[in-house]
Amino acid sequence: MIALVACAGPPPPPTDSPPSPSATFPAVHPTTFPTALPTPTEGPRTFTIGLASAPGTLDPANAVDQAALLITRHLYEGLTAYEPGATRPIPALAEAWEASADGLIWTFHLRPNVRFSDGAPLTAQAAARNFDRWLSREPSGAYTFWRLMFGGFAGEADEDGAPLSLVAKVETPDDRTLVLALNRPEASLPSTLAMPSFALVNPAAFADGNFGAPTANSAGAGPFSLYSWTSENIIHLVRNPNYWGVPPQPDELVFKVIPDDTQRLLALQVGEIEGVSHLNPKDYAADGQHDTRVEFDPPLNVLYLGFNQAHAPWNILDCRLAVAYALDKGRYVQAFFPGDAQAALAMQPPSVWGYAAPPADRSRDLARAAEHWEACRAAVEFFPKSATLYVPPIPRSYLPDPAGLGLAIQNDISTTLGLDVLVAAPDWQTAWLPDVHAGRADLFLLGWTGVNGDPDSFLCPLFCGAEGAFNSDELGQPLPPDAELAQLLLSARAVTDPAEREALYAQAHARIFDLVPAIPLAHRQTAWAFRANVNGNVPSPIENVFLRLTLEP
Amino acid sequence: MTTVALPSTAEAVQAIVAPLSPGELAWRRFRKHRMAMAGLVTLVLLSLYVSLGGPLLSQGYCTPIGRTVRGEAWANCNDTSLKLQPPSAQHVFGTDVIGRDIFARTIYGGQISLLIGGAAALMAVIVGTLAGVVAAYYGGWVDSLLMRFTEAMLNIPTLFLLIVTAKFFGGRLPSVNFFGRELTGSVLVIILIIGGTSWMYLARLVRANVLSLREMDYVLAAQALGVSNTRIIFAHLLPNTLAPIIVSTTLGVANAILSEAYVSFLGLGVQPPTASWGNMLESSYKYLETAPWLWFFPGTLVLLTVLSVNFVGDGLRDAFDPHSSRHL
Repeated sequence: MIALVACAGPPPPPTDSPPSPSATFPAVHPTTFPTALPTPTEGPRTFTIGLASAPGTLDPANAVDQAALLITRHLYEGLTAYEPGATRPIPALAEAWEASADGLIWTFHLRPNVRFSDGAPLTAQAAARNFDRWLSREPSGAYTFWRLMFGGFAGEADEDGAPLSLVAKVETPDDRTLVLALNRPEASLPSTLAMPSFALVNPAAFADGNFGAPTANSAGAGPFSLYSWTSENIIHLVRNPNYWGVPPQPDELVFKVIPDDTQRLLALQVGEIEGVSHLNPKDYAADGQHDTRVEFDPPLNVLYLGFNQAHAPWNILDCRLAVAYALDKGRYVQAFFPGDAQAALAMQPPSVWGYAAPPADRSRDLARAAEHWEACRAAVEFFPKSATLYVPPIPRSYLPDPAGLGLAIQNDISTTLGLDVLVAAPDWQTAWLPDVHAGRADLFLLGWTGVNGDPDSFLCPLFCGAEGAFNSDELGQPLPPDAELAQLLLSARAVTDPAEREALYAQAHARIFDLVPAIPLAHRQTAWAFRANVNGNVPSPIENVFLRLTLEP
Repeated sequence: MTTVALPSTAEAVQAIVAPLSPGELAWRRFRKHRMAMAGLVTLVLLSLYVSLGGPLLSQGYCTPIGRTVRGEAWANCNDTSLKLQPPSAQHVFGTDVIGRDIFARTIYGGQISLLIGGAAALMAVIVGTLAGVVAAYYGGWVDSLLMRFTEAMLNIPTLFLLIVTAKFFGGRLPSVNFFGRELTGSVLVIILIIGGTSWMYLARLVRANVLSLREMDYVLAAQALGVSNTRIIFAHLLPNTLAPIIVSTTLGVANAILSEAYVSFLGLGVQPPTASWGNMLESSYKYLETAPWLWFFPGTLVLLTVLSVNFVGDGLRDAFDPHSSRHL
């Protein structure tokens, strides 16, 4: 899995977790399903959601902005979906799947009698046409998320001639079976396929070159279908009559673009819209006033302080431990976040499966810091005079006040350990990221968003040795901070049994806790505000779906 | 009745007749310069503030450490839950962006700023005077070499030179202990950089002065008597060119304090947590309107210091100037 370190890149993609009336479940995926669902009552109920910006396209494969991902989530569905409020993959258009022992052959059994919103039936061939489209980039497009999650496109190879694309071949043995042959094992495939970017579309729709534009046919298999997308950027969705699952509660969903933060909040306060995203932190204070309520989605990111073990003395465990005991997460979270973050204990948020609570919370403990620092000084012959701490020069989604936090960390390390810390905050794109990735920092303050909700997407991009931020050899080639940890994480990619994977990630977390390649600091949440009489929002770390919204009388 | 003790005739005569030494003359002229005296008094008060303020006034209960701390530890105690507090009884100058006491930081920052001002000016004086006097006295290729180098240095914009050298040398020097206070290497770097980039005008000034002095008869006499060059330079030439040196030194102190503020404001100077008035201003930049106490106190102290030093420099110039229009 390739990912851009901390490029706060794509916002957590919204996907949904459709309630499944079908009783067919894959044996390997025991999942809890909502059993009793309220049946929709009569009268059209419309919910209007305020957006900060207009979607760039409604083509799910080419949607990159948060608005587009949110809307396409409601129009389309993929082979898998996310469990409501969590990130485990559950069956959606595929009612079951299994992987071969080596993790290279994945067989998806499609749900019978599913139709797209335009009436065309979902067949394995139609699904395969979607994969062909992503692989071949035809019709042309950026296919950003495919490149990010699947490595590349058909025919592309790296310097050694190994194909870049994760998917080698797509086969359809029969109408209801789709077989994906992979170039390398990737156990998080079902999670990735639940991302809204990999939702299935009726091939007839994307054959039309206009697909994704306001006037085009939506033709998805999601709970809603596109009714209109006006020039004022009001996007109107109505229930999809052909939807295979439990019909959504709202009859209609309207997405309204109000770019100005204040206007958008005002629209919520007067009841013109029922919910807004991208809430300005200063507006959290208005929580509870004007009949509104703020809800936080569980976090899908981690802010951490990383150590570059290629630079002395950070290769010594005691030195890293001393810093861990010198920092005061609890206070940082209070002081440098507008009340929307929690102190992090591990390198992934607890809201993502695979989380294993560490045996202890390492927070400020001056006696221990001093003790480890003494051991650290004793272990290093030529102790460096100072350490360079890279602090992002601009706010990131997981770090609203980098300068303040950088100063506090510098102050805490300097005063507790007596080590000079130089803060570096050069230009983000041209200097900061290249420097940190090339291993020029000693310490760095950075965050990570795990796009597909799989623990692998948090741990492996950081600790499998893809970037030189944590460690590198004499020639500057990236190394993992710990070879055994990298081995563990890579082997977890080849294990397809979720329970077995979970055990491996528990081991990985324990090893990360022991070795401290990085100190987890905080997880930041996303805030939504709703009218007080709107119920049924399911806060989820990875997606926002409004299938269960109801109005209190 | 009181008896008035009259001075003896001899004393009285001596008091009237004995001529004032140049130093006494200068001091008399200086005393008459009101702004200079005000500047001197302010400087003395500021020195007391930064030297005695630390041990006497800098202490408080540091919550993150869990005990009462004194001195610099208090200036570096960051209780982030108290960040950006306006001035109050607890924190008379308020707190900064990570909850440190600004009052304590102005004291310890002042030590650094004044130290940098003094040390950098001293360094500039030594380098500038030596370059000037050696160039002028020896003349010939020595003069050409030194003066071309001086001009080359002058041709590079000082601010640019400061920034580049600060970036290049930042963090490369070890900490030093100065009067029992541990100073980060960045302080030393800044002193060297500011001293190393501000000696050129003085060198030219001294050279011009010495060029005329070395033609004086007493220098010729000394040479004829076989006095060594070193002795001629230090015993005859330098004392006679002391006036411009002293004046330029005082002004150099003010400039050095300002340069430190520039460089630290750009984040290249003294590295936190060591405070300096300049780097305190830097972190206040984002809060110009919302938290004015962040810049008001260090800014005012820089202003006061630089103003006072300039007044004192003015006073000294008038005092040492034999052609001064001010009469006794």
